[in-house]
Amino acid sequence: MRPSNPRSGSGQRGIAVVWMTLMLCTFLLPMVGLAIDLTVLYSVQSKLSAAVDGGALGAGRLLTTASSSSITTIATQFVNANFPTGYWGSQAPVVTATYTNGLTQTVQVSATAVVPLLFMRILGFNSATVGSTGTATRRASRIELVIDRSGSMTGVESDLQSAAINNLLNALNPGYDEVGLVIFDFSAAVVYPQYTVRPYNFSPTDSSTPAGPDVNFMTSNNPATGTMVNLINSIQAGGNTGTAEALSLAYIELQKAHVKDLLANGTDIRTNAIVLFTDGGANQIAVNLNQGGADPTGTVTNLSVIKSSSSCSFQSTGTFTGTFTGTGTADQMRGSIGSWPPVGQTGNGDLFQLASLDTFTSTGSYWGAYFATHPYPNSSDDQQIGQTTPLTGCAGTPTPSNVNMLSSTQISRIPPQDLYGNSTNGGGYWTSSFIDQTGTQQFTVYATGYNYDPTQVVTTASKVPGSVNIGNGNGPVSTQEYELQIAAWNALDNAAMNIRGDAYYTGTYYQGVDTGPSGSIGYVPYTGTALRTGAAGDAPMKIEILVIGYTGNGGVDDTLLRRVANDPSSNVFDTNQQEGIYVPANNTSEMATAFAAVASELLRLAQ
Amino acid sequence: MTRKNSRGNSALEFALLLPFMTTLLLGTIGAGFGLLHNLEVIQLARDTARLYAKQAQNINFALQGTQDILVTLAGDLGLQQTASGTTPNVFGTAGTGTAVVYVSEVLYLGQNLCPNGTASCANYEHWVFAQRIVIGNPSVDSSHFGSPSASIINSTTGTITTANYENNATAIANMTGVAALPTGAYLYVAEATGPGVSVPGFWNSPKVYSYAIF
Repeated sequence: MRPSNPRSGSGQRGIAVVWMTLMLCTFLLPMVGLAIDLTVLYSVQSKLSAAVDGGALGAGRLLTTASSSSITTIATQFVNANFPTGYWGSQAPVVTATYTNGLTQTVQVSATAVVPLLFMRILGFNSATVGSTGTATRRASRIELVIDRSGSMTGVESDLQSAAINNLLNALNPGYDEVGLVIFDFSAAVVYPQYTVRPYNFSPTDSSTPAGPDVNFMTSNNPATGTMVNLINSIQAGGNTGTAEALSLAYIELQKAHVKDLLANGTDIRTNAIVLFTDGGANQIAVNLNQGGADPTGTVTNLSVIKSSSSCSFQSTGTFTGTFTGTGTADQMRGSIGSWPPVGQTGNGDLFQLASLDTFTSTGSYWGAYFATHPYPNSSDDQQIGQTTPLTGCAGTPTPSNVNMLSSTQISRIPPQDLYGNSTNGGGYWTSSFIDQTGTQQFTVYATGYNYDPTQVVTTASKVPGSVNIGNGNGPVSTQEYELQIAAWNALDNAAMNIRGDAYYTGTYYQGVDTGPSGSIGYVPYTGTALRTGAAGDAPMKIEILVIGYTGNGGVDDTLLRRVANDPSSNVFDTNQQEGIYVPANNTSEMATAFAAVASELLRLAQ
Repeated sequence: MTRKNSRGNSALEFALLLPFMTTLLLGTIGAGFGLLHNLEVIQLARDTARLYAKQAQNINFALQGTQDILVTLAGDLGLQQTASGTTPNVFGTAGTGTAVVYVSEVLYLGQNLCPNGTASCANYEHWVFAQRIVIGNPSVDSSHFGSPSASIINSTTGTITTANYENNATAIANMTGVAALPTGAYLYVAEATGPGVSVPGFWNSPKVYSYAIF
């Protein structure tokens, strides 16, 4: 029997195909089409969102002081560069950027792009618009870079240069962020924005150059200095470590730019920061070598560092209080003293190094010379006293037996303040702790209950109680070396505190004055607000000190550097002062990371 | 008989529709996976560039730890570091994976950086590389912006010295494929290439690529 319903089979067959066709046309194909269109939209949205991210972060990073229209331009350039022309057939994105000024600078970037639809146009949707918004914030920075080029840096200069340039300078925005540079070994010098030979006006309101960090650090229009990159690349190592003077100069430089902003705008919205890179302990102090007279604390009546038996004709034995005349007969010689080898290294140290920080204009030649840089930060320009000296009897290489040096019984001549007014004694820092490359404590100087006192000479034995390990097992350390080290540590410790406390502003400390050949010199009690006048809205300046300690060269005084930075991990962390960061580094990679960390902390670039 | 016929007809109909349906299905799946990887490389390039440009604390692409972050971010793209897994890729040490990330710092050598023009900068008025780090397997794809000679790249940090990027011809970055960029500062470029999905005969996308410039 044949099937009663002949259409059954063919009907079923027909129904399946028709059903399928119907499903394809009305459901499956539109679904696939919709999926494809959504896919395209999602893809474009994702790309646009990435482009907007780039635009926001790029415009934030490259923020200029120019109008917001240029910020839109930069943001648009970034978005367009990140969004390939005609991506999935879409039109070029329309970008808008808004900028909000303030302590935290904000850039908001929005972009929309019109994407043609392939399948949805069947239903009348020819195109769709995708959009994305991104926000980036950052701080405007004013940075004084302070770079240690002491002898221990030999061999790692290029690593330092590469890290400082690639990881810090490159993160900054030329034309917007302000950068200055101080280089130091025995003594320190400002080399950017402009190297000038001393006499050097330290007044923060001084309008002559160098006039504080500026925004032109990446342009090479200044033939005297070249770009910051050139300057950093020409750093050569050599000499002792006079960290306190370097920090003080950096502070003075920051103040100049700060005051300039106040005078121009009535406000300073920048993050003022000192970035200190060092690889060892401080062991040099800038002083007036033969300054007579009493110090303002009244504890010392003769501040001449040069010992009385020195044959140097410009030593001062009395209580000279006159001023420098610039005629070659002056009693004032500014220089630095330090010890070598430092605590922890083989051999007994001694008071050591006598150098002029000034020119003797009357002779037409430099008296001692500059331990600091001239004219570029390389050590070949360093000279030591005696090489071109017109000063009778001052000649002689600065060896431990140098006739110009203090004897061990004249330690009281170590001045109570350094040239910049930073105290070298008192209840400051006297317990040192060196950390080496592996993070191991190399040695500790315990001196509990004993600190450097200019009125008292204590013996090594009485100074160091118990079985204290000084000198890394290399024998007892000489008294004067130890005293001088404590003085140098104290000077640095106090310099950092004075700077963070904006001591010039509050006027509570003794100021080292150095106003040049015809000006005054020595320690002057700071009596008023004269240094910071004329600037509307002047208030204590917030200064952040960021420290990178490179332990790859035998170790740094970890404890001291944490104090200098006022890092939260410091043993005297002061919540009333600006908090900084201390970043240790013990190899090339870590050095790069450390500089990047500092840049990140300064810019607070966020999205 | 009837049922047998019907069943046969259904099978025949199914057989007729099968190629079409398979095409549709495989195509959709292939496109889906291709899209997934496409989105992944877009995201990878974007995240890398963002980390790079922010120069965030402890982010340094020459270090193992930072490269590990990228390996995680890359998800199933198959980004791997060097075979040993201990030495970070910087240059020339090929990873074994199926993806590669190039990070480069680029800089335009204009009047401000080369005031004497070509007299002191052979690469005057060109974009140049100041840093190049390779993470992953460079045989997957080469950088679309150019490859500085290995001899001028610091093998530890990936940096290229000022003298080299000013004068070495291989340091020139070919940025002509992208829209005009702001000059005068360093820009951070990240490129990511990962595997596409191939469904032979239907979908052929051996690799997917994306870049981000921050």
